[in-house]
Amino acid sequence: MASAEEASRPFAGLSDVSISEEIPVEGDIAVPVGPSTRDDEFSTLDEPVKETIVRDLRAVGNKFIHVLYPKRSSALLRDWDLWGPLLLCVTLALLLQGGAADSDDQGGPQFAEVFVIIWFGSIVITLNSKLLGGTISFFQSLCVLGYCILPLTVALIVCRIVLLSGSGNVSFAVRLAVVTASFGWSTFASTAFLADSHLTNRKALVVYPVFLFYFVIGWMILTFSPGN
Amino acid sequence: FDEAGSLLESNRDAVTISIEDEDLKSKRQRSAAGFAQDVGDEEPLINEDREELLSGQKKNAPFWTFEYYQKFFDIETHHVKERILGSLVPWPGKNFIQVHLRKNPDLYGPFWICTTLVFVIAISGNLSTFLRCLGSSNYKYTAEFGKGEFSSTDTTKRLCKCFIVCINYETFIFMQDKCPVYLLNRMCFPVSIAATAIFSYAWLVPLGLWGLLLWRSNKILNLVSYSFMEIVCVYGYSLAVYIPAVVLWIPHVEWLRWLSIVVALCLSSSVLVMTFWPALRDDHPKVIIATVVGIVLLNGLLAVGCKVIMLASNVG
Repeated sequence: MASAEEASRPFAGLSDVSISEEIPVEGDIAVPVGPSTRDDEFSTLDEPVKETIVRDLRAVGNKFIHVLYPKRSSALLRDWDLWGPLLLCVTLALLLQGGAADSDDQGGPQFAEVFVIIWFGSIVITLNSKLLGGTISFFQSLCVLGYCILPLTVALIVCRIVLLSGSGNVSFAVRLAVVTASFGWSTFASTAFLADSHLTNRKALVVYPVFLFYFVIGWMILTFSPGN
Repeated sequence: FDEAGSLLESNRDAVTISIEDEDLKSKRQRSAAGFAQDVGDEEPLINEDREELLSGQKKNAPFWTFEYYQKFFDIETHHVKERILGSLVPWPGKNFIQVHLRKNPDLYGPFWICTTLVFVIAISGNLSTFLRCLGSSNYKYTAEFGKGEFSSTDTTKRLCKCFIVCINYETFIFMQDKCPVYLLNRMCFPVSIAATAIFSYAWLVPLGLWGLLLWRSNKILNLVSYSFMEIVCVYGYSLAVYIPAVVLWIPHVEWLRWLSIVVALCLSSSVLVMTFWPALRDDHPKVIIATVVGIVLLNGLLAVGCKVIMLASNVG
């Protein structure tokens, strides 16, 4: 009976076992290692820092090129990163900051305002796209929207250069043309990436908020004027 | 024995899961059939049992999950277009909720119409100032930074009726062509005020109205009852008529401004009143009058508020 009970409860007999100090306990704890995993090849701990940074920069630059020539490619979607959007947003906010030098806080838009508008707008549009049943993930959508601000940033740089030469009617016409073209480019580029993930009868519902977002940013760029 | 007991329990669970699955499947089939019939139904109020079943199916997700809100975005482009047109052109006798919503209220329309209206107000304010100073190139403004004292007299008189806070934040920059050009911070302030005003109108007034209808339906037997989301939806779509009205405020033509604000007020109020008439029809006359007057008054307050915000971003 006792032996049957003992057999039914495994390790039951070991409850009162103690190992005396004279018995050496030794052995090998060796986990059989399979073929070397992928992580070993991509271990970035040993490579020089410059290589790590250059790889990321190359990825960001690659995505910039994809935005400039928007065709249906999945590179932007597949390896999303938020470095590019951060870079563009900071550039835009720094360049839009301006205004008179003698007014402390009433001069131009503060850095934080532009930053908040861009990121909050992107998050709201992403949520809208996901609620409408989009198949893109949250961060992929943020990545696409951020990267597609590139044409508008270029337009802002061009506008600032044009404003250096004067601010009459001709410069306004040039600025209007540049901003309109870049706004159209941004909207077209982002819809090329975003709209495909939705049903055909909801595409307009997804595209309209993107249109409104880039329109507001374009308006901010158009009405920008540096102080004296 | 413990092992045997645990094995039996797990088996029991397996049995109950399969039963629940069958139950869900049959419920889904019934609801699909019910929905197909409901679409062809012209009088959705008759088959209230079927709707209760449908609404019961819809309310499965609790309100803090993503799926709960996803069912309010279950619309297509042509639905949104029809609803916006239905709110712009109120047809006597056509109840917006019954004709257009058909038990499928959405949050897409109200949210994006409110957002568009906020930005249109800010941009129109900027544009109307720009147009004004294009016409009068000799008009000089002087301003003291941060203090809000202006030397232009009649504009301050007009604006004293507006928010004093807005005036205190106004600053001007001179350009070589003597035309003050607005900077973005002029846009951020009207955007924040307009956003607060419009979004609180779009949420708090429907909340009050829904509470009122709930209170009255306890006292008087109503055949018609609207859910909170449907009321929010109606109010959101009724704001769509203000977008072209605000765009018409850009040129400084007084009669056009007054005409557009009156037409917008009439259209949106009539949509709202016609929607809520069936719910109030059987009530005490005083309650009916009070509610209708309240709806129209709050709508008018919003219209005036939009104009004030535009004026506040348009000193001059």
